Amino acid sequence: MDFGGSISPREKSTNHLTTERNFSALVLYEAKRLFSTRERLVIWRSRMEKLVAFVAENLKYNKLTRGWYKFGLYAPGALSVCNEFSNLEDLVVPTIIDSRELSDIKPLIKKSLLNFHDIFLRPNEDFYEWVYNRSPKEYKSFYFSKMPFETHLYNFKRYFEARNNRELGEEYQIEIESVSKLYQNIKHINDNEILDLFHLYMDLLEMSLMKLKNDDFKKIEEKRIFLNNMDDAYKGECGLLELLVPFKQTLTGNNSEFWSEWADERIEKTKMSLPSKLDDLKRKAISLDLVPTMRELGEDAERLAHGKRESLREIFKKVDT
Amino acid sequence: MDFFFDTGVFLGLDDKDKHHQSVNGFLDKHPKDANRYFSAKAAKEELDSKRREFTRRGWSKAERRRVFQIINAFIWQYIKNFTNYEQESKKHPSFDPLYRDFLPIVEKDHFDAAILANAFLWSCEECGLLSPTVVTTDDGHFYKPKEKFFKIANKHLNRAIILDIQCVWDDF
Repeated sequence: MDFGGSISPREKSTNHLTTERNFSALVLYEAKRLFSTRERLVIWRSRMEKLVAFVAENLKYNKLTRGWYKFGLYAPGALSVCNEFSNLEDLVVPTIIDSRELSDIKPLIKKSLLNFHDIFLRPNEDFYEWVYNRSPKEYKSFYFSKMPFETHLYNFKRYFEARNNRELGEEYQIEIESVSKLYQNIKHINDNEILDLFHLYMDLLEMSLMKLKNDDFKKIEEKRIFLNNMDDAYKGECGLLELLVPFKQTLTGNNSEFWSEWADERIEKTKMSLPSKLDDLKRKAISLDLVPTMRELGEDAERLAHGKRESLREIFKKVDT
Repeated sequence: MDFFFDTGVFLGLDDKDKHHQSVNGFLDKHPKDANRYFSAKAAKEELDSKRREFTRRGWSKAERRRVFQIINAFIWQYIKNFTNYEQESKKHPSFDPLYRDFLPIVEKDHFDAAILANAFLWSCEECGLLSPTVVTTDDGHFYKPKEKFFKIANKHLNRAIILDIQCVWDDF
């Protein structure tokens, strides 16, 4: 018998959340039994959450709501359990309400976990390749273009900190190509405000990397902080990535309405706060001499186009026709 | 002097643009240190909307992004203010009549009509302007029909108009 109609939407959400927590706790409890102590130490919080999400996906368990987020399949209800621990070894299983339904699916959970065991121990690059390969067809190219963008940005930061000029130059070139790839794979973004923020962020990033690739490494600590802040404005709380992911469009599960509202709030909050964050970063970039002159930008455009470039005005005409 | 740029002037910052020499010559002759540059929010919006379209179509190659970055660097450093008399919360009462009457003259290009309406209102509202002049690369929409614009502006603004409209390649 369905008593859903007799309870308020808030109560309904709370019930859903309890169910999500119970399922997550059970999956993690079973995972803790399956993985060895050494293995449990490398299953950190984000992988714990993904493990729960993929088990739910595998079992088509709709009482755990999930969608495709910043780093793959994401179940925010599971994260609320995982957040209490730093890794699987650290996990103390909270009281699980003894439910018939969960007891019934326990063998299936165990089977799923066995399938995922080796995959969840893979190094990051292999692991995320596996994760992104499971994204919905229409968003796969987005995830596969953001991955090299993030990898090369990380490499660039590393070479910068090591003051390695030669590698910096090479990494800059690769990173610019991965920015181009990312540009080509955000066709799912229709919101003008989000596209404008994407342009603002990427312009600032590309311009500062252009200056940093030939840096004199003066004020290196301030520049390092600037790069970290750029990183945070991309993938941190209220960062650009929040606006690019198809979380709402890919939500699956009984509590989708609740998590869709949660996503809306985050998107609105990000749209409100990111412009001023980028404005501050731009001021910082100017003060650190990380914004190229118009002449430097023109020379780089020429170099990138190998002399074969149409004017923007000509391309604008093609947009209009 | 005080100059009000149409979108085409920004596009002329691109060294592959057919008006690049004229825009450069203009900026050399009227440098920022001795003059002030203004434009309309509608001009920025026109650039932004085209850029969004580039991205949507997958046309945002690295070298094209650099040109947008050049334009934005110029805007950041040199544009004193983008007027926005059509802004919802504080729309100027004469904006809509000007815009509406300019629109057929500029072949229904709503950006051009909005830029021109902003320019006329700027010339009346901004204090202490010195020879306010619209600078354009679009002689068809902006320069040739300018007498028509002045007639319309006189009717709606009911005051002496001190604005001038010139092409970027003209000697002024």
